[in-house]
Amino acid sequence: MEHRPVVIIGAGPAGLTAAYTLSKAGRKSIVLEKDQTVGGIARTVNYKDYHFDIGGHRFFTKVESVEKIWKEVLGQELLRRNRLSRIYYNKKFFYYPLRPLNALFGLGIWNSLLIFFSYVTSQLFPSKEEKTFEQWVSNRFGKRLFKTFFKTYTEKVWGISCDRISAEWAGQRVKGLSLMTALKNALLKNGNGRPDKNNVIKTLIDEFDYPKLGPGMMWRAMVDTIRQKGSQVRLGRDVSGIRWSGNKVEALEIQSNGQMELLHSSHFISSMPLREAIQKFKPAVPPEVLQAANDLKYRDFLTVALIIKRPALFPDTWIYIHDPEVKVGRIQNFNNWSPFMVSDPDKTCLGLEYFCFEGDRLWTMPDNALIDLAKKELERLGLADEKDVEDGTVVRMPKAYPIYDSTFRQSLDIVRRFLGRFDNFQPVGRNGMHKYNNQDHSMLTAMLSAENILGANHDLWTVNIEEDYIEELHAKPGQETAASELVPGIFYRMDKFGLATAVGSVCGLLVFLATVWLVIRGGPAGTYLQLLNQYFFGYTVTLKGAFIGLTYSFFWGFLFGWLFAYLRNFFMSYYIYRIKRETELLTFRDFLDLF
Amino acid sequence: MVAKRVPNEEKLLREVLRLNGKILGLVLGILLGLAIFIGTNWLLIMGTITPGEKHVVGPHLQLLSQFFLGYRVSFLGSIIGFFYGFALGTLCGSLIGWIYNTIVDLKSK
Repeated sequence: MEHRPVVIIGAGPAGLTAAYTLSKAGRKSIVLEKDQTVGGIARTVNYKDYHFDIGGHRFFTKVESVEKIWKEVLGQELLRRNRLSRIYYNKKFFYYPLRPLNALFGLGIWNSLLIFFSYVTSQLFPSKEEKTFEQWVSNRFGKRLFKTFFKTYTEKVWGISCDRISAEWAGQRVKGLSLMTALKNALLKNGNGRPDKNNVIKTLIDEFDYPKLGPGMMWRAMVDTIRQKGSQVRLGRDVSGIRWSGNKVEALEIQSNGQMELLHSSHFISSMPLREAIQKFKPAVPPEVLQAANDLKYRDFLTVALIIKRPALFPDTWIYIHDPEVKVGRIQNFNNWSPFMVSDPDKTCLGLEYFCFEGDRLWTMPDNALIDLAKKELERLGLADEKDVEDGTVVRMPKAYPIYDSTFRQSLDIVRRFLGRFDNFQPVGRNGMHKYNNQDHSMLTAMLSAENILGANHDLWTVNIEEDYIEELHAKPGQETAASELVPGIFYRMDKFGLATAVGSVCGLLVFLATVWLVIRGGPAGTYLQLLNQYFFGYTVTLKGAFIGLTYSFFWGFLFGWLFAYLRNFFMSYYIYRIKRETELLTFRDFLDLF
Repeated sequence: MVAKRVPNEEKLLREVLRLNGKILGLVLGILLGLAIFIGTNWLLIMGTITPGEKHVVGPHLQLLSQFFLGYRVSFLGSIIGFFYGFALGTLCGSLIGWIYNTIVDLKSK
């Protein structure tokens, strides 16, 4: 039984990584993909030798093991690219991450002042409740900055009002610079509490790796390796049923060319959307679980790729479009992602991204109408002339983003509890776990699921929640203590009573012993020690005085120790609070990139 | 089935600092030793002049010799004083660390 191939649903980054990890450990697997291509939402589409990405997938990660796989699979084919991106807002372009002078002139001095005062107000009087995305962002950056740079774009992406998006989404996404990382940096690196800009910001924001021919290149290479090791990747296989009994999933029903096949295994990994997976369980899951799964929502996405007969239209890798007058949300310039993506260097391939719901007006628009819309909007934004567009195509990507609305947490918990009963079925990846993971975290969940099959005991749901956990998991032996245990330990609070008692006892003992010593030996020092009675009323250099001195010294030592511990805790808390705030403020630099 | 772990940020709020008695002792020892060493040599360099009386250097500090046998206000005495100060500081620091940690342990039980 143990040697049956592991069955993996989905050939996106998660599914393929699971198969890749297993194959490296000598374990065979069968990957089932519904589409005729691999990569899931991180695929690369090839249209007349113009390659374009569905959404723009930068390759950067803090997870060492994921980076190792990328380098292992693609090696020299991975390019290091500089990033340039801007925000189009109020008919002006703003560099993003913001550059102070550019932002000041773009917004105007008056508006900038209002933003500053709004920020100060949010710091002094933050919203006590922090349940929605709007509250979360306003508390950190101020209401005015929220309205300027977050509201329109976020609502375009999610299709719902910011006060209906859960704060948990923002909290989970803004994990780039955790408090612990900042504290570690404060202690170990530059000592000023700010994360090391050269290492963190530069790496995570200004540069990224990218495969020569887009992310699809990575997944195709991975498929080749998986197949070479004797595992299978079967395309065009739709899982129509998941058969289960007790605490085991027993088999999958597979549809292919109108035929039904039954695939048994002892281990299953699923990256198919969680809602779909639950709907496919046979026998049907309890009604409350089904209801919870049905309540999980997704945002869909379509890209209109336009080929324009002009080289170097603009220098950006991508542009965020905040303007509510146009429907497009983001524009990718694939020439700038990688020059190898475009077959004719005299032309430019742009990807205009529209966020929508499957079945809505935008989703159901004919391709020609969408291409026309994209052309018009491009001209309206002043980025290209409509007449220069020589060709275009549309790619629709359903379930691109799991929605974190106000009810998702409750529904997800019910589904998780149900899935918790299975010891041979592991959901992985962004849609598989209904979790807004980037591809690196999706890959990590898959790697951990494979390791679980090989005997490990990881909790996949902690990925992207506990950043430190991931760092620890993949740290070298011994690093964990130094980085995660020792450093936070320094910031623990001091026990006031403990220190007060310790200092009091030692002070009391010192005065007691000094007095007794002089009582026994005598000498001129006694006269001077006697002066203590100006503070310790009743103290004398006698045996009785030694006890009085002990009591007084203990009292004052106790008070001193307590006050020391209190002030130390107070200033340490303030220090941690300040680092936390600074860290949160720094996240503004790449906040929009997290969408 | 998966082992529960406490996230670092939660630890930060919940856990109590432990003192390293050895290090605290060492630090206090060095500080006290240096204080006596520098204090003694400072008096030797500056000297003390009491009008109309015999020139005496450090009469008050000299009283330490009642506790630190062999100590005197001289360069050699400053070295002896350093060792006495170091020993006393180390003892006090270690004792503070030990008492503090014992109380924290008792409270956390």
